[in-house]
Amino acid sequence: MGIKKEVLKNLLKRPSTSKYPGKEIDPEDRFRGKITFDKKECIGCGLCRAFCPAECITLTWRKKKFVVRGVEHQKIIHPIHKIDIGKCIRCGLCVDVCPVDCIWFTSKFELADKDKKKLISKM
Amino acid sequence: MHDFSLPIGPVNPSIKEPACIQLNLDGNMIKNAKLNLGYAHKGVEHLLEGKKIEQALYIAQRICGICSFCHSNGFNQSIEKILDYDAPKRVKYIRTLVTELERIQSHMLWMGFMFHEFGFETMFQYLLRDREHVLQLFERVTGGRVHHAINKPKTVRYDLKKQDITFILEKMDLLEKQFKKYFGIIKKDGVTKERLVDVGLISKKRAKRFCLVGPTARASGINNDIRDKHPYDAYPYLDFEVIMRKKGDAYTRLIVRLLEVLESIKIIRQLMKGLPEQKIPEAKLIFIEKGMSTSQVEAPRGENFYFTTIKNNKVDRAKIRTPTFAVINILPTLLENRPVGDVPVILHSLDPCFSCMERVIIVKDKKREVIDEHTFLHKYCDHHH
Repeated sequence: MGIKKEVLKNLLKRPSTSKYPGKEIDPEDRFRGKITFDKKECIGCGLCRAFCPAECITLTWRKKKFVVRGVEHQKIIHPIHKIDIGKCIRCGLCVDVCPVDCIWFTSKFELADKDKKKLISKM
Repeated sequence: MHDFSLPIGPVNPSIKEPACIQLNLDGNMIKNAKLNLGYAHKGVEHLLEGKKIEQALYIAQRICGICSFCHSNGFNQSIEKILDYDAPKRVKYIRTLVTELERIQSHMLWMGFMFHEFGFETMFQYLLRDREHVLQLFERVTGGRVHHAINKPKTVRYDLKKQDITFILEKMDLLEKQFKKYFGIIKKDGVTKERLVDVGLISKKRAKRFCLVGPTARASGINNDIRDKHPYDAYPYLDFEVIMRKKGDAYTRLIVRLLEVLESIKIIRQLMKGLPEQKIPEAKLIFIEKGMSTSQVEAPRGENFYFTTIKNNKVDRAKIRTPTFAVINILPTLLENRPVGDVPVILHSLDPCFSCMERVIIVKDKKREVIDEHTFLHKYCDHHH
């Protein structure tokens, strides 16, 4: 009898699924989606790459000018270059370990793509 | 009558994972069966070697998609044992909450697919519809629907908010109402009984011989619940009952899992009621020079055993014994003298998960070395405290 009641109830109910691609879905605040970063703020400490378990972070190099007692100096720093979203396991270690908070999670979750190269996130 | 040999698999043998069951048939009856594994070997134990502790925690949780938190909790527990650290009560409560939510989610998925195996599609749809409530809870509390990544050495990533607690309790009321309804349906339904009663019988003696774990063993009358025998996290402070039945067929396994979900709902209510007001500690990097420890946690499918050695803050060796590997060995004997149509039901009644059971044993030059804890400490961890 139980199943008949449930079936009759469902005849009068609206569908519990939503029309997904047409209707946007808002994930929760804590949702760990696609990782993004700000290259300009990066100080090039390299902690994110050292801690990434999936080894999906690549660093690059750039010259940084600074002035000491009126004399201009140059030094090479290694800021973050790209993140391979295909390899990323969204553990959040790089977000936790970053001293200047230049890596963060976004709520974007539609990450599937036919081309592997499109999964690499650059800024 | 001719004798036939029938391979089922390795592509999707009634479940969506690779394994090959070879059956020798006499007409419609199975004479004997053989299980071939090794199609989903990922090499996780080797992947863990040489990784930092923080990294290894998140690789460990990737072993299984359904019981991901239990793997990270098992690894984390062995690390905290080496550090001799007792986590604050609130951290323990949050860990137990996620464990129990995971149990509910896993059992609901199992039950849904169990009904799907013998064609009760309506119940399958209902159970997966209600499982969405638990996944919503996961998304809100931990930030991930499948891989939660909430554990950290010595602490957890997120604290529970006040609105989360009311949200959890609302969902628990809803789930309890639905499950009581489903229990009534399963008790009365003729097709369910016809397909499950007296199928895949495991006696208590046999269950002991094959070293079964988890709800499969509890359905045969063996109490091996780690939550009860070796309580960890917040289980010592809780009052709960270990669900046990004696008969040991597929129907009993279904009933045991269904009652376990109701018990988990009871546990979650207790957790929310007794949640202590505390500040959870901030996550810090840890350092371990040398150490070795073991840990056990009760995953939805049974005992999850971790053996970990650490050298210079890196994982030297991690040996993992998953519950599915302990349970699957009984499958060939269960299939003997049964019709071919029972294969999906018997296979699924054991709750198999091939992605977490695939392990490799290496025997070098036909030599086997048996090491006890004392010699191990001397040989590999000579400065162990």
